[in-house]
Amino acid sequence: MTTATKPTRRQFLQGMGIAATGAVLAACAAPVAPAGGDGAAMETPEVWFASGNPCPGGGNPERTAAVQELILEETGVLVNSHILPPGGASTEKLNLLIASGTQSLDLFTGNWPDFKGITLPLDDLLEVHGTDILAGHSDLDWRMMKDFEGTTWGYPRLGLMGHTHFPYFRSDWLAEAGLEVPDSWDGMEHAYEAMKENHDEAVIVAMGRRHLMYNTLGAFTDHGFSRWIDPADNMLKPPELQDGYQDWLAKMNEWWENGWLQQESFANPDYRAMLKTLTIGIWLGWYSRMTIWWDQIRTEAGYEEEDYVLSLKITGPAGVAKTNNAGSNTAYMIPRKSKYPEAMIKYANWIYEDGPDDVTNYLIASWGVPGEDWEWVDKENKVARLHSAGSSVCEEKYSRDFQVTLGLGPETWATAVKLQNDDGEVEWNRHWQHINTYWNQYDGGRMPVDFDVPYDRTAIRDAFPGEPDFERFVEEESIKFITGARPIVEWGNFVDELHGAGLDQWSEQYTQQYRLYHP
Amino acid sequence: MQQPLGEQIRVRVDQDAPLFTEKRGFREAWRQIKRDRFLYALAALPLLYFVIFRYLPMVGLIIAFQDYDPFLGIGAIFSMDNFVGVKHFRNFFDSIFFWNIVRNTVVISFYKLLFGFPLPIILALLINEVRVTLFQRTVQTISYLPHFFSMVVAAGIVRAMLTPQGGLLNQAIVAFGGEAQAFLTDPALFRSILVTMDVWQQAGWNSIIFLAAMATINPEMYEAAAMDGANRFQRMWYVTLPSISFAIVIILIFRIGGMLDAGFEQILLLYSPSVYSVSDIIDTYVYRAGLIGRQYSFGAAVGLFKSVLALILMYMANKVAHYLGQEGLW
Repeated sequence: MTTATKPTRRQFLQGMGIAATGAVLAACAAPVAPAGGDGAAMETPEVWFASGNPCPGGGNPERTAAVQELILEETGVLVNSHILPPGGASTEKLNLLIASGTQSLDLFTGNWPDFKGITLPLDDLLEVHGTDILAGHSDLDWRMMKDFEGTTWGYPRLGLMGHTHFPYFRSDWLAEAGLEVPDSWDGMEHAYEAMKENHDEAVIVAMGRRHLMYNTLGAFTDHGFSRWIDPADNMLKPPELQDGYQDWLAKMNEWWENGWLQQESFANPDYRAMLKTLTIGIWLGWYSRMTIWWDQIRTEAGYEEEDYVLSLKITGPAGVAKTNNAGSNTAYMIPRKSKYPEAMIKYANWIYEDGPDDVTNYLIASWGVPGEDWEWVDKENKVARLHSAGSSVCEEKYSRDFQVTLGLGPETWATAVKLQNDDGEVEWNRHWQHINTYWNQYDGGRMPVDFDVPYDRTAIRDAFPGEPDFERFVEEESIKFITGARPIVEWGNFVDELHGAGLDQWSEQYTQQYRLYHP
Repeated sequence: MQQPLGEQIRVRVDQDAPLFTEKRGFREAWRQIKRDRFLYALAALPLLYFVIFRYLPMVGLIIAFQDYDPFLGIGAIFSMDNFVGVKHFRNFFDSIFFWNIVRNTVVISFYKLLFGFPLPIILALLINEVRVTLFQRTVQTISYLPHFFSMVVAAGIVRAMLTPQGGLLNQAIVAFGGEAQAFLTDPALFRSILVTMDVWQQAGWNSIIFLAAMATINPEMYEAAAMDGANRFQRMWYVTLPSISFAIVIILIFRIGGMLDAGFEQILLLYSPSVYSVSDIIDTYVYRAGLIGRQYSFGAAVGLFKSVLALILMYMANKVAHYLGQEGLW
């Protein structure tokens, strides 16, 4: 018979010490790469993208693996994604991924001049492996991807867009007041007054000053929300120094004082929650909050009467209110540390390769495996039915993990597809139809003076380190003027303060870069 | 005449101690380490933690004096090619927001210290006086609870309470005939909201250390005070407070040392351009410049500036503690 001996206190401490030391050493050890299945798998190029995702935790793992497998069969490239969190944390995580020595990264999006120096020039890669990508964009799109010397630093993500800003009006409230969708500034104000009369809770919501300017500044100034050339000295000036900006501020202040503008319009509130309150009479923000979020809310809640309708063009005292969105130099880029840049471009090119007439590959990257996640109902007329892909529940579907051609190009081609599910229309239809209809319609808005200049903000910041402070100063003081925290009679002082904050340096740096493209 | 005890010991030690040699000193030290090896083994891991996570990263401070590009790899830190001296410090001092940011940091921290430091002491004193154990524990649990909310959740609660679109507080204001207000965008109210939220979230948790200090007070002191006719308030004032003064001073020094940590997460989650003028602190400025704007060297320079100020503050607080007859940290 054996007797179990209890460990002494010393043995116990020794054991604990050894275990804890082992745990620390294991935790500090270099990560071990997963073993390849066989020799062939070791040869497969594996690429990683950093991108946002409608499902912050990703979609259904099995559906994602099925799409990954299909893409591997079609392209010979094993695709993976790092999902970026929403909001400001997205930039933070992206920067950490780019700087990481241990995590693979082969593609990410951003303004290419900000990353120049750590990304690969793409000219040769595109010429050899990306001919369909090259053919898929306009000359203007490509011009925005090149530096002054003509080197291409990315393939287009966003460019000049006509569809991102429209005033949306609560359609049932307009109908209730017997009004048509307004097309003038006075008409817009009259429509709001009528809504307010019937619904005291009605408010106008702007997603911050920037979107408010995109939607309305052109009604009071010659150039809208755009830098402009001051004929007095032939230098580029900020939009806030245009004639008429003061009038716009005064009008916005009037809206604020009347209680028309929602009080959190400049405070990053939860806009989705705000949409659910059904108190928004006029929406002056980013379009997709209406085409996606509102559409989801409306569908889920089963609203039939309540809806929003956009106004194509609002004209004010100085002309068209809206300014087109020069998304300019937002690109898909390949970092220098990428192990498989050729494979990366090959995969992206595969999405482009069928051209505008057949967007099957784009739909695979977006919606999943044909026949399982979605299927063509009428390919010739571009009607597709979504199965699991149409679900609003992340756990049930593949969630766009391997989509690397959002924005311009294949997305605008794919928006011609009419989507169905078993119950009829699906939520993305409204969004896609909107993009398809308006993305290249620039007539309803003012064209920014420098829409074709891909500014190198990093270079500007190097030469003028106070540039972020200058931008903050303009933003902060403008909001004070709108909310009445600073009376409009102090405008002259504000301009003097702008000079103190570095207006001349700002002007010099932007003009210098503008002149490179417009000698 | 008999020598005082201290002198006796000193004399004995002096007599017994062999002549000091360096070799003998090492041997003695090694003997002591061998004797207490298990204690040293236990201390090794925490020390390793501090070395790896607190001291080694300090090497990175060098980027405050460089134009460092993190995407070029860690080796670039040791390159002199990027050395720019104090350029980033100069840029920060030249910023039009320099004084605004420093003032916000100090003012918000000061308010948090002013209200957030005494309240846990008062709460601990009150809890200590409760004689019904069940009630005492219930109050303690409820007061600790907000500490365990993540800052995101806590900020979400505050936002939901204060929003003009159906927020609880605004609903109450409207019900009483008032007008809904956007509290979080009002510069006059923003700091008060920060301090109130901070006190709500931390007062209960911070009272623990004072309750622990009170538990060490000899009950005979209370009995003696009671026999001398002291009422409960006088016992609290003349027994409890002096007995926990050492803990109060140490916590105060820590709070002053950390005074420039004005609540980065809390402010980041609640602020907006409308209230930048009263809320933008050094940490939020560093976050925007460094992690969002990728001006890592500039961010490091501003962070280093803050750390130096914090060190000076802690040194001064420690000096004041000694001056007041307390032990201090060193």
